[in-house]
Amino acid sequence: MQLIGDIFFLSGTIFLFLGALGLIRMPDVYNRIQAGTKAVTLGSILTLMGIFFYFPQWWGHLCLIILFLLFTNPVSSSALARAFYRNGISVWTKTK
Amino acid sequence: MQRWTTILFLTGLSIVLFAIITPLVLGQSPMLVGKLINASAVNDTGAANLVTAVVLAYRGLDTLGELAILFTAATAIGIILGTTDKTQTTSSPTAGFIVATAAKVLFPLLLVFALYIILHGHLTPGGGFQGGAVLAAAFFLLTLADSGNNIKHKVTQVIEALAGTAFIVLGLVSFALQGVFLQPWLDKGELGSLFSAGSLPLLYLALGLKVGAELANLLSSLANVEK
Amino acid sequence: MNIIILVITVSMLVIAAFYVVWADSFFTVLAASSMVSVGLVLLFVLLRAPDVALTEAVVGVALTGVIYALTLAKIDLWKINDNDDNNDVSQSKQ
Repeated sequence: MQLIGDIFFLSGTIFLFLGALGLIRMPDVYNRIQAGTKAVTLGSILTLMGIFFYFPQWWGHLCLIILFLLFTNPVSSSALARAFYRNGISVWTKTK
Repeated sequence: MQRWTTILFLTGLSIVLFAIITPLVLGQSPMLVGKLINASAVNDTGAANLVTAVVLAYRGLDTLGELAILFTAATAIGIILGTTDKTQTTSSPTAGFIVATAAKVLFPLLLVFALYIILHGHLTPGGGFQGGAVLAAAFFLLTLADSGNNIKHKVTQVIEALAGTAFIVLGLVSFALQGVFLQPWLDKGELGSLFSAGSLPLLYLALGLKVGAELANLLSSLANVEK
Repeated sequence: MNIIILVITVSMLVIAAFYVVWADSFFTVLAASSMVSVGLVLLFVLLRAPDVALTEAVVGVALTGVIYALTLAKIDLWKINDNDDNNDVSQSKQ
């Protein structure tokens, strides 16, 4: 039981690390927002599922937190990307 | 030059923070007042959350002072910015379909959360200040999603005045009944249930409504861009 | 173990506070000062003060940033700069 939770923790932290790496390595704002949103959302959800395998009696709280994350994280990052686009931040077009 | 003085200040602050934290043993309070309050607060007030007991029962006058400070700040901002109740059609763009829909879905949830924080202030962490701030954020979310959707300043001012009056009236009733201003005066009830701790939840409700109305008023008058 | 988390939190907070001084646009200043508030929230939770942590989370992270942003927008300092290294192909909308 706890082993499955550990596996979820490990995969979640790997996704969180990839999201943080993407925030540093990506070339422009839109790519950074994408990395920061998708990877971090998935990483947080996987970590919360790992917590479920440690404490199964918390399933209600964890479901609520996951729903809230799934709802607010993409909305806020879409608002950010929209604000950047409306302010005329240019798009990275160089391909190497 | 200014940057270097700021950095000097921050260095001093970090040294002070590290010096405070390093010898600290977590979970053991070094103060004696805490032990006294821990021993007697439940019997005195009936609140399960001892922070509420301190904020509203033992230090109620300080809370009244904080309310006065908030009121002064809101008044000053009202004087500077003016209250334009006409909601002149602002030129700022709307936030788009996604944010507008999310605001519509999130607004009732935020209201429920704010009222939960306010009404359970004597049971769980939270209370009037936190719940009032969440309330103001909930109303500002609607303004953020659609800039024409501004709140009515008259309504918030009436709510703010009534809530502030209710706080003082609750204190005055305690003065008439017991001879002490702002002492808990209703039945204490059963520890841990929703209707317990006497007049503390009523005080927190008044406080939360006042803080929420003030902050919502401030935010919406700031968001009225007059250009 | 707890003291290690505490020291890491405080160092994150102090680094974010230094970055507030060194940053070059108001946008990053605001993000970094919100980061200071996040560090404070973690610190309060670790020091067993959930009430103060809740207040700091609502006021420090959310409302203070909003008030700063609205004030900067009122006095025309709230601009999002395009200071990346890709200005040569700026084909943004006019």
